[in-house]
This record gives sequence, C-alpha cells and structure tokens, in this order.
Amino acid sequence: MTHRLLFLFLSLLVAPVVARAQEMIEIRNGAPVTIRPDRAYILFRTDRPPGVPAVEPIFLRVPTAEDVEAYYAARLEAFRQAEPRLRQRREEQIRRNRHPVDPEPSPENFVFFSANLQNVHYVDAGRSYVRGRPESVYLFEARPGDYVLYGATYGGPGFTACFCLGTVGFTASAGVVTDLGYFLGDLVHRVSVIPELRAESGFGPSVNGYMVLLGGTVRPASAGLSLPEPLRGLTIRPAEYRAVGKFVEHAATQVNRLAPVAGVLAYERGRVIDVRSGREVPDVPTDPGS
Amino acid sequence: MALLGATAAPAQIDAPPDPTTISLPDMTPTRDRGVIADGWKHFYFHRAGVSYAEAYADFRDCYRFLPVRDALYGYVPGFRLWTRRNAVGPYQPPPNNYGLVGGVILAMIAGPLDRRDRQSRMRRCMEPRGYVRYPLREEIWRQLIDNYSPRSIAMQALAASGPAPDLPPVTR
Repeated sequence: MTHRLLFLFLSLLVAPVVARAQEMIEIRNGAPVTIRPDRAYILFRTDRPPGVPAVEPIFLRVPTAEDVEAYYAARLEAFRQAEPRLRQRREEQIRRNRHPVDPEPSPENFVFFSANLQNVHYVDAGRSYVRGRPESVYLFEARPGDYVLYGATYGGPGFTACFCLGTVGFTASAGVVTDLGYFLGDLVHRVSVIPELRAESGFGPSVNGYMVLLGGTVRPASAGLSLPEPLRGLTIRPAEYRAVGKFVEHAATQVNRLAPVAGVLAYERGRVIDVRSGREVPDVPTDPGS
Repeated sequence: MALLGATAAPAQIDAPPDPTTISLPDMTPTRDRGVIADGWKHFYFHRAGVSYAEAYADFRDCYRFLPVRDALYGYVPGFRLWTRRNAVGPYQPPPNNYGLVGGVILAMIAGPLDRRDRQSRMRRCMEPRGYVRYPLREEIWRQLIDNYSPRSIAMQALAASGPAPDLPPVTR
C-alpha cells in the first residue's frame, strides 16, 4: 500500500514533466546537438529592433488520431470524476434562481485541461539557443508532424492573440532541422518598425482589449542566413510554409491574423488566399467531435 | 500527413432574415462633437456598396470570434483538437489576481474592457473586408449592438449596407 501511494505521488510529480518533455524541448545556450532520427528539430530567429517587445510565438502540432483518442479517453475519465460536483453546482444554481445556469454536464461541454496531453506550445523568449539583440535564435527538439503558427503571447503563458483569421503551417520532419527563418512580432496599436508588419499595424489604442493586441508574421529562411556554429554540418531545410484558413480559439484574449507572407499567404477582403494556387483557403473544419 | 485545413468546406452561412422585418434605431448622423469624439467607443460598421446579404454573411462569420470566457480563457490551452470542436464551458468572469482594491478597480473598468474586447475582434475581422466605422450616440449604439445577440447580426448588416452618413469615419 505504501509503495502504491509512493508510486502515485511520484507519478503526479513526474508524469507531466515527462509528457511535456516529449512535445517541444528547448535546446538552450548553444548546446551541441545530436540529431535523433525519430525527432524533429525546429529552428527560428527573432528580429527585435529597439522598442519592439519580446513577442513569443505559440505553435500547435496537428494532433494525430492517437492523440485525439487519448484526449477523449482522458477527458472522459476526468469528467466522470468531476460530474458529481458539476451536477451539484448546477442544482444549486437552479435552486437559487441564478442566471445563467450551467448546461447539463456532459463530456462534450466539459472544459478539460491535462498537463499530460500537449500539442500547443508557447515559446519562452528567455529560453533561447543564442541570445542577442536585435537577433536571437531558438531551437527545439519536437515531435515530427504538421505545425501551425497558432498565435502569440507576451511575457508568459497567458494567451493573448490567436492568428485565428489566417496563418501559416509547415511540416517538421524527423531527423532534420526545419528552419522557419524569422518570427516577427510586435504590438500593433502603433505602427510597427518591422517592415513586414507595417501594413498590419497602427490600428490605434482602441484595438486593445483586456490585453494589447499582438501581431506577427514570418520572414522565411533564405540562402545566406547565419547559423550558430554548433548547427553547421546538420541537415537543415527551409520550412515549406502553407497558408492555413480561419479557425476559432476561445482561449485567446485577442484575435488577429498573421501578416501576409510573400509567396505563401495573402488576404482578399478577409478571405485567406493561398498565393501559390491563387485560391481561397477554407476555414479549418470543426466537426462536432465525439 | 494530417490536413492543415486546405481541403475543408467553407463555413455554411445561414440565410439572412428578410430585411423588411428588421427594425433599426434612429441612425440619423449626428454632428454632436461629443458623440464624434467618442466615436472610437460607440460606432457601427459601414461599407459603401455592400449588399445586405453580403454584410449579413460578414457579420455572421465574424461573430464566431467574439469572446466566450470559460476556464481556459487567457491561458495557452495545452491540447487542442484542431479539426474537431473543443468544448466551451460556462462563462467564467475574468480572474481577480489583484486583491480587494484591485478587484474593485477591475469591476469599475470591466464594462469598458468587455466592450473593447468585442470591438477589437470585430474590427480585425470586419475592417480587412472594407468596412469603416462611423460614430453613434451611446444609447443608439446599445440598441444596435443589442449585446451581440443573434438578432443584432441582421441589424448591424442592415446598418452597414444602408446609406453612408455624411461624416468622416472613425480613425482612432
């Protein structure tokens, strides 16, 4: 019994750390890199001219079928544990004539967060591979898969802006370093000094809500970009960006779109355009789920 | 590889209600300096030449991005289903991490911040589609916006596709 309790206690301490470590691990301070054939590596730089804050990108890895299955199983388990409390709360609201009354509890409307499951990752600006100004370099070991530049935050894991109105995605393949080029972010109530953000900024202070509105974009990798010494000799491929359509993210405190990316992402009266095909990119589908 | 949204069908837009059944508050433009100065607070969207049906589709699309505050609001959510709908729970007021005095101050500014939160989302969604803002008296604005109720979609669409006021648009 003692061992079981001890195991449970240690599991609680260790499990979230282990699970998170498998998703996106920052490689820091110019450490030597050994490429694992079963892991992807994501490299990007930031360019922060004077006066530009350290806006941090948020990435989403498109979940696999197994990820989704694991999520539903974990959610159902958590819901079963929470259900008596949720029902009691709802009955109390009805008894006291409170408005609004919570909906009938169900796994489908149960807001669930698990530290063991992760496919959304924000980049801590302080955990760089090479720290510098105006340029810093970030490097991650990550799960291979399709990624979306999901949003941006500023000063921690509070979610400020999603790029819900249009963004880009890329594939990070196993065994290689995928070079995203630069991530560029700024506050956009004022006109940004970053050329790629100039036309997508200067909206005035009224565009700020609970948080200041963040904007961002990417400057794709090009020949001649400098590389930190430990990365020379590794297989490095420029990211092949794709335009991603609109999606809904209710956790974000602000909504924005990624500024256009030459040759990849454009907009036409609010519609997301895949520049290569010249066609509109439909919204990301949101099936009802199960 | 899993899709990034390139093969999905576009969102279906409900047919707009008959505009003759929609009544608007008095939208007569005002020269009141106070109203014009406060235009960044109380405004409506307008686009020259847009049809009621197109404006309805635009508002309907943009209302999807209005805030729904549940327990995850304001936090990087950890896991997202991406192509399946994530659960949205009951409304949770923003957390008070600022103590008693901070809580009182927050309560005082919560209304304006709520308004700005919604307006910011609508601006980022509507302005790239060519809509501009015109000032409204606060009481008229409240009637038109109707707390972003479903019927306000048609009301805003009707106002947006109506005659342009003889006023400069809001730029702040």
